[in-house]
Amino acid sequence: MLLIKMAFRNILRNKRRTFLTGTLMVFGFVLVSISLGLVDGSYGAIIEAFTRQSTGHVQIVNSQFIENKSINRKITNYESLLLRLKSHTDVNFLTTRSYSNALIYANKQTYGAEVVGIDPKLEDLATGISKRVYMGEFIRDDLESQSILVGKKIANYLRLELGQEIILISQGADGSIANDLFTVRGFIGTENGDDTFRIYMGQKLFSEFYTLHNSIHEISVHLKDIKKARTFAHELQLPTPLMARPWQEVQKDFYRAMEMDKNGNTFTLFIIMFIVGLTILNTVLMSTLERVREFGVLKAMGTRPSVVFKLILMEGVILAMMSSFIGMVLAIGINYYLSVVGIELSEPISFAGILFSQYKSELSFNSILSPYIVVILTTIIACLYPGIKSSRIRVTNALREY
Amino acid sequence: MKIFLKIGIKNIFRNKRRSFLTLTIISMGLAALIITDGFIKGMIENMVKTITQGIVSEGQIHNPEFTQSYNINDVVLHRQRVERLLENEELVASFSKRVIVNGMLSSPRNMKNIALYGIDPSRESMVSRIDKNLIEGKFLPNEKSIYLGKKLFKKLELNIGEKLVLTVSQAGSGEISQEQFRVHGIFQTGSKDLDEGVAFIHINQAQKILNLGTDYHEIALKFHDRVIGENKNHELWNKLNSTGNTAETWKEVMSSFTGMLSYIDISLWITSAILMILVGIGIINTLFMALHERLFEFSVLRALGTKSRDIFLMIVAEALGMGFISLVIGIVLTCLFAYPLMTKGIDYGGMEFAEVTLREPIYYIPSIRQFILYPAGTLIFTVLVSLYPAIYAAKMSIHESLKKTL
Repeated sequence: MLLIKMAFRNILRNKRRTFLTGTLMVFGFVLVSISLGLVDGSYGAIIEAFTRQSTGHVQIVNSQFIENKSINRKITNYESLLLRLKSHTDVNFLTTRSYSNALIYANKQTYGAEVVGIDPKLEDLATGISKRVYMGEFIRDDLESQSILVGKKIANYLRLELGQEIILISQGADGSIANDLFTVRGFIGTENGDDTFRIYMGQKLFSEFYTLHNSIHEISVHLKDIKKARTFAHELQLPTPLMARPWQEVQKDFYRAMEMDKNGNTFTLFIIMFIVGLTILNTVLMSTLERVREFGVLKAMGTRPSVVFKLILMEGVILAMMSSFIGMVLAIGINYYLSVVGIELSEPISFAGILFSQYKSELSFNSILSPYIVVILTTIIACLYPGIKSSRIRVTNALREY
Repeated sequence: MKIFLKIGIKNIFRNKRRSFLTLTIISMGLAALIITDGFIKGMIENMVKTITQGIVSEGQIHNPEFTQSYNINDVVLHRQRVERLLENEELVASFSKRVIVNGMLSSPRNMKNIALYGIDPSRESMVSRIDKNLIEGKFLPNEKSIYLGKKLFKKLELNIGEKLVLTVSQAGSGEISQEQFRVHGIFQTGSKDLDEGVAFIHINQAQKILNLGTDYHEIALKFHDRVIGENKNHELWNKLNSTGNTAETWKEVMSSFTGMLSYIDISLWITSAILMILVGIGIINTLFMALHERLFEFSVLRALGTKSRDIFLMIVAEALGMGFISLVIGIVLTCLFAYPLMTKGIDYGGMEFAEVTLREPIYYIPSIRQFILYPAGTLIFTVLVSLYPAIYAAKMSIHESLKKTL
């Protein structure tokens, strides 16, 4: 207790120095916190967006389909698998999809599109696809109406209208030529993103058009907790040639790029904290050099070296904790503001295939706790040398100072 | 006056450990700034090369409608006039005409939608590097050849020399037209979009299939001086636009990349500001410590009749001296850390960023600016920061400072 009291008094002895060092610690704390908050928040929002809208958390596909999305690399007899997945406690939603390409012919022009077969009900439950339809209505899974949803860029390019009939030309799973008339039921998506170059149709219609005989290409699983994606995919027992992939593998390029960016960010923070640490070291070293005589007196009265060491360490840690507290208050405020408002980019930037349109912070445990650890650890490391040096002072030499 | 400058400089060496730490802080800040700048410069250079040597090239001319509509009927206007202009223009190194259309490629086993480019092989190789990305076979040896990306080639499950069918709709009538081609060469650029979604054929064939006559959709430009392709205010662009077409620099074509450049600039400014604040607090702290240690000296100096201006000068000189030494250490540090970055670089292994693929490693690129602007800025900043303790010391009254030390 006496030690704490002494440490406190020492901190308050040179107020300007304490203020400057404290400011530096606060600055370091806020910097680390905002930087972590922004990285976690921005990536978190993107991951949430694309796993929710398209990839899902875990995908089950024919293992050959991954390398080459060929129409024949399909999943047959998938109903029992669906039932099994549905009963799994971790699973929230399931949806099935099929993929192929087609050339659209309308208004004397052609345009290539990716055609996606979906189960409208399941897809809407899992990804909320019907909310992305900006004009017209959502489709039903029937053969009679031949209705499809068309992506925004395709619609603009071909100058399509609602209710218009268009021709799709493609190749069926058996190699035969597939072409048929379809009715545009709605338009989907925005200028950017996957939807814009796609055509959506019901699973049955897709299967009929491409002679797929009731097969699909992908089961997308939405879990209750995204963090379980890896273990879920890993533990799932599937018959060959099927395999389950967590979103980290589905969006491999993005995941890798994100990890690299995070590492780069950590490196920058490391340099900044190194400079902060040097300044702390400088200050503490000076404040101990000033007091060499005091330490000499303390030791002459029988204070053990470890106590002197503790005293110096305590001074640093107390200052670091006080600064961190102020830093935390500031950081929570700024992070909260940035998590609500976000920094909108005037033009979205594509990053490893994923569109990045705003910086957003996140008020997480990580963005508050990590800076605490970083600042206090930096301080402790910076205090070690002055602490050890002061504790080893020889009484005779120390008392001779002055 | 000279003597006070001298005292100031000598003061640096009085407490060597403290000075050393402060010097490290300043020089590290400086080195971090220079290396960040050089690395970002390297990254931008890398991306710009990828863009300007790829199919974007250094500039493009289109029908004003085409960039929005991609309509096959929106061909380049008054092409003879445009061509004559380009041929007589000394700034233009070469140009290449292109037909662009959406189509479908089907092999016996699979099909895929693509963007089809009809190009003149010999002229194209002077504008872009697409012919140099060849990894197998030949680059469009005859008019019946098609040149594909590796991923597309795999997706269509083809072999070199095999036939495939192209389906497109013709200009004007919109009739569907089909034509057979043979794969004689495949390329790999590292960009997913190009390797998976683009195919090249001879421009004559493209014009024939599409019923375009001698019309085309795009002219890709290459200049003797790359700067023209970056400066949209250059008079050449006005000249080209006067033909009724839209001529754009690559920066305008790649607007998402250009947008990103401004974010990079902002983030570089923020990084500099943060580093400077850190360094600044470090310097102030050190100078004040030194000041407090020497209160007694100052008061003696003042008592002896030294003007406050000279005391002020002494402290600024100390800061200036530290600034200078830090510059030297900072530049040495930079060279030490930048060298591996300059020779080996950092490989991002085909990562895609702002629609540009980082195929080659990113290298640190040094520039005169880095070694003049940043050091000069650091020096000025050091002096500016030292003003606060300097003024503080200059204003101190004698009896108070004498009292403090006793």
